[in-house]
Amino acid sequence: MNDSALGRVARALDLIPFLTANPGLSIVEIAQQFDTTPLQISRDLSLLHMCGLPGYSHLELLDIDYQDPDYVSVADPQVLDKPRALTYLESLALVLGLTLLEELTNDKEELGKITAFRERLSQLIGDRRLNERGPGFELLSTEQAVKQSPYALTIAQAITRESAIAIEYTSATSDTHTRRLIYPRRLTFKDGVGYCEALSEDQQTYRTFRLDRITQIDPDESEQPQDHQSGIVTVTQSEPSQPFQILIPKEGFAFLETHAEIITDSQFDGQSYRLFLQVESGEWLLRTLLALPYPATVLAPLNWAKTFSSRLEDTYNLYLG
Amino acid sequence: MTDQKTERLLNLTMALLATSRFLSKSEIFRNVAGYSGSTEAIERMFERDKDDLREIGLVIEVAPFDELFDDEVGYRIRSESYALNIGHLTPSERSYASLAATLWRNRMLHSSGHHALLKLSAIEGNGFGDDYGSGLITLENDSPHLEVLWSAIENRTLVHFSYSNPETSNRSLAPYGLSLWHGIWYVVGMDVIKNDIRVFRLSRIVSSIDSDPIKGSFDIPKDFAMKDYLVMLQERPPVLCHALIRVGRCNTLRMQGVVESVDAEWDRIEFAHQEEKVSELLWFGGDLILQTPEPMREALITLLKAKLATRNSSEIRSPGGDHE
Repeated sequence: MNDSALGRVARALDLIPFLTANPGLSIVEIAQQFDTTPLQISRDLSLLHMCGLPGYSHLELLDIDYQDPDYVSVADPQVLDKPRALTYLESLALVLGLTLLEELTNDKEELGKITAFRERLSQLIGDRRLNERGPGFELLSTEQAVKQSPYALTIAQAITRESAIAIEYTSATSDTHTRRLIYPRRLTFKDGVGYCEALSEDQQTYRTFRLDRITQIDPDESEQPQDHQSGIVTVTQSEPSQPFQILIPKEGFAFLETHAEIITDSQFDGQSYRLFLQVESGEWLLRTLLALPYPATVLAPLNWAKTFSSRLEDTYNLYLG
Repeated sequence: MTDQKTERLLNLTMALLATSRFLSKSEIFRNVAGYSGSTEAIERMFERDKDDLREIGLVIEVAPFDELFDDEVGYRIRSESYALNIGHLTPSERSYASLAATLWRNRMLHSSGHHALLKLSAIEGNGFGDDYGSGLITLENDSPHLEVLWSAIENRTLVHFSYSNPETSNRSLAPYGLSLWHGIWYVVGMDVIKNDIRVFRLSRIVSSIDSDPIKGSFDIPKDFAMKDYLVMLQERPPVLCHALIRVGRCNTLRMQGVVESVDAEWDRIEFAHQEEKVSELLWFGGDLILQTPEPMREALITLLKAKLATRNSSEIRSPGGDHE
């Protein structure tokens, strides 16, 4: 956080109303909330102790009790009892976040509540920006940032409550439909697609599940596994990764963009890319390459190259038959 | 020095907030601790202090101190413009705010969301996350360029960067707006070289972004609406397709279509799919045979032929480059 004079002023103006509403926090806890060090918070409190309304005596400054570092309170915040108005960017971060939550849920009642709250917050932005531009002007927007998932908020509740859920899940790679118990840890969205990172009871490993492949969800009262550590998400590989070599034409540069995390090396000869990959699931890679809108092929390892080749040929023969 | 200035700014803020009338400069200099030195020095100090407080978002009203003598102005901060005026938050709203504020991975929005949550929790106290905790949902679409582009938009400064699509070219842009459109970050603005409004995908900016130092170097047209340009990125509507799928297979496709049995080996499915994404049906390999529409089926066959031709012309190597 900014430790210039101005940065400290901003923090102090937010610190007093926060402490007024949340008495009894320790200096360490306050520092965590304000993303700074306990030493800085101590200095801020010490400085604030010397501030007050004009014309008041030295006994009538801001009354802050911080002698006990484990219990800080404000007895008299004077005129700083209310939090400052949200900045434009702070309001936007909330409004855009709520817009994404709206896109996630299809529960009408929940959607209504989120929309009403977002509209209330949007007023805070709109009022301040109206004298610059008309309503509806956006400097920063979001639309269909995430695919709707009827289960996203249910899973979020399960994470908060540290409870298990039973899901019916369709795996595109293995093309199977299974029912399994999972302990969800986090929801992430990338390029509009939602994923649930969860501990799978069957495998005792962390797995990632696509939200749009979950077909059914039931809360479960199962206890957490013994090695569960709340709040910590560690996604471990369920299969060891193996090296692959593939060839894609130059119009496939978007593949490099989309799958950058599995590409260990690449060579471009002006016409095509020879890519070196580390992939957990060869089956996933084969299907992905088959589904590309341009010719791509597996060069190595040999067994997968042959599998890819025969699958390509078998598919083509079906269309001839 | 920093402590003195911080103390003075805080005292000034409190003085301007506490007053119900406008305060003159002389009253401020007399009563707010920290204003000392020559008259000129104090005046300069005060002007800088006002600018600083405005920089952190405080609205300092300036008005004639006396209706009869309008050459002297007074100052104050109205409580209505200072304080967060959102009213009471329900437990659900607190939960939604907690989720919404913490889903950003991007440093700029993450920091802003976190600050917003701090301010909201100063209304309601602890107890956020009754239904939902914070940080449970995260948006992984981050871009290292968001902050510099946002700053350029706010300050109306030109930016310069290298863009890959797929050839790399140098671009100069007057950025008008940012959007997270269908899961992807875009910046929309006037391409200075091409003299046309263009849409740029942030992930294809392959260099750091240089901002011009001159602020206010362009205006955003009054009739500009980002959506008008982003809709050009919108995909065409899907078309109705029919395919044979093997019994027990193509389960993800079955979720989207209407299936009827044909025989012991095959089912028939009716589903909607975008024409330009027909290749995606090859994900199912020999478990799916597209029947209609005919143009899409032909496109699929042509693609399969091309893929086979590429396979035939490629070398097959084992790892390490040895020939089989």
